Amino acid sequence: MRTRAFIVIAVAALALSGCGDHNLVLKVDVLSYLDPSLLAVTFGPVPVVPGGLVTGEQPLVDDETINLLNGLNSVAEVRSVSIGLSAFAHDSTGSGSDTLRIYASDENTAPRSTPPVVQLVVDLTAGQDTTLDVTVPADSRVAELFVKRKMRLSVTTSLRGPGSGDPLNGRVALRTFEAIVIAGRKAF
Amino acid sequence: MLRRTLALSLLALVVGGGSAGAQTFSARRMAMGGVILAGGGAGSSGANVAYRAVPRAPKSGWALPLPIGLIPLLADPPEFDPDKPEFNLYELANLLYNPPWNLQLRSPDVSGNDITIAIGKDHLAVDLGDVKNLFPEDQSRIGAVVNGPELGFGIKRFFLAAAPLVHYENDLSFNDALRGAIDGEEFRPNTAYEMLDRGYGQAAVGVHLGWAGPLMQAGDPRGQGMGFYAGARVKLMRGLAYASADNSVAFTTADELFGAEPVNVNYRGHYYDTGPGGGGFGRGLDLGAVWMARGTEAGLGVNDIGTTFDWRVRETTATDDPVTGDYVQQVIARDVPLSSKVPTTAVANAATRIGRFLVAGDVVRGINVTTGHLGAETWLDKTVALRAGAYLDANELIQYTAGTGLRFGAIGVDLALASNSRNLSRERGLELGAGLAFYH
Repeated sequence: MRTRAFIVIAVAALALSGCGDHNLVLKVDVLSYLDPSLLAVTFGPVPVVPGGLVTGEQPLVDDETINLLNGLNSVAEVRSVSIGLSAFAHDSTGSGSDTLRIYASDENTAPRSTPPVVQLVVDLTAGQDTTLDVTVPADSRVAELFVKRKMRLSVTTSLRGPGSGDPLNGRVALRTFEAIVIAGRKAF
Repeated sequence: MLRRTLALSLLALVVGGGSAGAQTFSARRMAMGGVILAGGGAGSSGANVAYRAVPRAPKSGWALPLPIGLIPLLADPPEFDPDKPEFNLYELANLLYNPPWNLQLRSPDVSGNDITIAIGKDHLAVDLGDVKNLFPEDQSRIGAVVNGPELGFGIKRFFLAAAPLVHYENDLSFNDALRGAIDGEEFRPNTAYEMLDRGYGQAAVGVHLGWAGPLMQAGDPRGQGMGFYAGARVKLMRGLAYASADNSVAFTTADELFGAEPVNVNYRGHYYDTGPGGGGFGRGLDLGAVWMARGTEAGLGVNDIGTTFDWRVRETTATDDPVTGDYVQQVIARDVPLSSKVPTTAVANAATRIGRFLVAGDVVRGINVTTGHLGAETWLDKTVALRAGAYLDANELIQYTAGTGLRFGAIGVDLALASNSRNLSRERGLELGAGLAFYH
């Protein structure tokens, strides 16, 4: 793995070795690394409980290792990173909410021992389909993860059921999960 | 350390990836398309030893090239420290292409666009934009033999001179898959990607022992007479340094580009090198002939016939350790006897007067490339010379030149403008050369 993309890194280094005003844009399709069957959760019927039944965090993707480009951190210095996420929710009956949390860490750290990178709350309304798109900046810890050779990832779901009305039945699925890293030349 | 190594490797790659033609120092020659000047002018005897015997034209002089390219370099020197943000690999590479002798009036900018790398589990694509133009379209083969300058003396027809010799060659190639990836195609599963780079260089110093004289001469060959001149130059040299490297980087992608199983990248390097301690005896031969009649001349010079050096070198291999991923070098033998050759090069040239114009042309068979030069000169009122020319450069592009010479008694000034493609992007640049001329 270490030298998997040597040539890509060499090319990146070359491109960044000119004037310092241009960037390396790294687009990581994180979703492609994950088993599609794990990216959707079907729930219900969730009974009506005063205040709503809370499931707590349930892992959808539990500590998956993602192989990235090795050596990129040797030539590129991250300037910013943004996480783009979209989710689709279908609610048959009842109402409630689902919170998707994404955790990312380096290869030596358990993902869920770190703060979530993204937290996406999907409000569920009876009979409605909902699509949510968010793009959020990530902090420097997360930014550095994408220029390392591996990262670990977890995705959890946390459901809150209806406090009144009908029991909740529905489905939530992650549609896109992309990281866009803007990096500049690192001093040699 | 890795980054410094990478920087140096990239410098070698980008310089090796282009084709550099030589800069012409003589402003007169530069203005005339870089052609070998008629009658034994600048660059003639190095290319054709017989020109040592050709009588100099009356009222000819000698030239002193002026390094006007040093002015901007000294005013704004490049950053050599790779840790500094001003460090610019392209700028340094272009400086290697164009030693700061002539003034570069227009140097193509190296692309400054963003590059994008898109990756997914089974997806990897690189969009380099214009930066991809830095990589050769196909196999890139460059090389040169640099002889001289000679420092010596002559007694009658014989001469003895000390001179260095430097020879280098590089051959860089990508397979079709890798070439496509550089051009923006996606990396594909189950595909082999390969880059090969083979290069070597050697340097030596020694003596040139030779003879050049007329085999036949009747009357004034610049007037109504004719002359046939020949020369031979034996090179007896001592090797100073030798290095050769044979590198290959290859990997084959699996079913998934970024799956659980790593792709094994195979790096193989095989090196031979030595310094002065391993330098042995070198010998070679240059031959030349020039025919002149009624102001017309034609010459043929063949250099480095059988030029061979003996060395005792260190043999080293380098591989990619599959466990640690580090490059591991291993010396497998020392004092290995090795014989190296310097490729034979040849120059054919001709010049004649057509009315008030001196017209000259040459064809140079160098290492892996054949170039040609054509130039003309005319004097107005013996004080102003107008010159123009063109040449086919090492990138197979036609370049254009022009210039003037101003004479003030025994002293003159030569100026030359010439286009070139001696840069990373192989686009057209423009340079100014200058020199002083001292007339007899």
